[in-house]
Amino acid sequence: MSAWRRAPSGDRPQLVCTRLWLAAAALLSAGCLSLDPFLFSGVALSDYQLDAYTGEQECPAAIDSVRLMEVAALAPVVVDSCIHQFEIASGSGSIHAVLLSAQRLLSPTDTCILYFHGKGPHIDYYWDRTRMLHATGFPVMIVDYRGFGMSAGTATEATLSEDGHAALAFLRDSLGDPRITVYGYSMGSLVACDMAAHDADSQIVGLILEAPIGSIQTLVNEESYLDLPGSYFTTFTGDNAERIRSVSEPFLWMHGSSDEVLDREAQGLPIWRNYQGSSGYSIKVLGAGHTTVPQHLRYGAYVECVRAFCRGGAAQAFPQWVEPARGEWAGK
Amino acid sequence: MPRHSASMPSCAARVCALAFLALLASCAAVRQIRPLDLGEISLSGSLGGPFTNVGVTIPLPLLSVGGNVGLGQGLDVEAGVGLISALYGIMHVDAGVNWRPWLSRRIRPGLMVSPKLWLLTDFSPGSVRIYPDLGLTAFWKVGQFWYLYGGAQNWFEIHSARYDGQPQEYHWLPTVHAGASLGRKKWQFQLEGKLYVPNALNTNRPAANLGLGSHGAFGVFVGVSRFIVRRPP
Repeated sequence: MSAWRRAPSGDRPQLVCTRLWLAAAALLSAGCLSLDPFLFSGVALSDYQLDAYTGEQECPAAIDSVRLMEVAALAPVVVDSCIHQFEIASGSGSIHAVLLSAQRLLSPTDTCILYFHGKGPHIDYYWDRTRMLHATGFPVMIVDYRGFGMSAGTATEATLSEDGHAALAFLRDSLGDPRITVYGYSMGSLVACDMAAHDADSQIVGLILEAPIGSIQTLVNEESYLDLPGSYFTTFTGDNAERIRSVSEPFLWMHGSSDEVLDREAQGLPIWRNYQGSSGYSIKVLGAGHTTVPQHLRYGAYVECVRAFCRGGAAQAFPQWVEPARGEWAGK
Repeated sequence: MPRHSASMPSCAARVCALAFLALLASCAAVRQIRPLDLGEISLSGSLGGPFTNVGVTIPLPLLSVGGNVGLGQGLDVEAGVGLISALYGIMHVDAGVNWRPWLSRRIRPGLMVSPKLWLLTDFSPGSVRIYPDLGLTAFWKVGQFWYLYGGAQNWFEIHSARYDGQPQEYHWLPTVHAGASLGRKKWQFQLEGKLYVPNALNTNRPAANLGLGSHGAFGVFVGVSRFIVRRPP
């Protein structure tokens, strides 16, 4: 400012322009902020409340509905002794996981659903969903990635992948090496698909993706309307539409026809089209949004479909449980 | 057992959209509404963006600065830079001319025609994007210090396929704007409302915009300009 004041009046425009461009150049060269935290970040917790949690959840009232209306005949009510919490080493830190299972130690013939949750802040937020999956009768493990819930740290693409592998390794090495159906919801689809495509050491026997991200690049293009590179916005490069090509296990894709966050046709369909594995099933849930696939399919039907898929009987069960007014299923 | 009410889900998921919107939105900052005359120079800045639900619905605070230099009677050259984009490592600049075929007279509005090019890159290989833009703005002088104006910017996406390989659905991305400008000698202040891409659906996307029903996104900007050199009227 002092230079401005000293400058002869005729030089002021030039000075101002020079300063403007210098400032712009400085900003560009110092452009070190990252948009990644906007994409993937959770909320830190000191402990999990699980059944005692009364905050907002991803699937409100689901377990009440399942328990009271439909599941009584399908699965035993969860009791506290079925809830096991673990801290698992992952990379340079650790992640927290909760296993819902009558037995703490599984056997290699058991099938466990490994649930990778979405962008919601922590396990409590997905507790109803976890409980609902347990109503299938299969053990369910849910993990908080680093940066979510009790898992300290920051989520990056590398840590998400590390955390997924750590959870698989823990099931394999410490919990009896069960058969695993990997379930990814929304953002968790990036981890689930990565695991199914690249983890050859575990007994992964199936992949379920609900409301998945097709790719980060598609997310960017859908949002901006323009042909912009994803690198403008994030260092994440996750591409489920490509990763799915490496998945050979049976695959179930569920997506709401009215998904307001991740459009079914733009995000999910490329994954489905590129799947080349042994057997694939899709359920288009009519009228369902991003979070309401189980609700629109009907909670009981949702539980039955997941159960049938995990048992390898999807083709027989889906015609019975997917009501034409609520969903359209297809196989390949 | 008490269970839970609302659906925050999308709240969390949609915050990410802040980021995605920032770039496109800052492409439509407010600038001078009438071209400068020969020898005139002005600097301008604007703050605002599309209304987006991030828990509450607010206009995104996007900041850009620019400058105009008069080249002739009713003809100037303009350039600008998006500062928020720059903070995130994206060079986002524009340059073009503003041409005023005629001034406003009584009820007949003046007209400003503004062809421009926008250049964006994050300096990674293959990341350079150039977008042509044609702006048309009608303006009325009201009293001694006020201008009212309205018009549209028109971005054109020239690629037939998107970066993710899917077909490019939108090749024409208009932004309709209307506003008022108050200025006397050196300083000029603007308030401008916008409707981004009213021809595009705003549903089934990560962002929760406040649009015209299921289309577009409303936005609001405030702008300030300062003449460094101004010819006497």
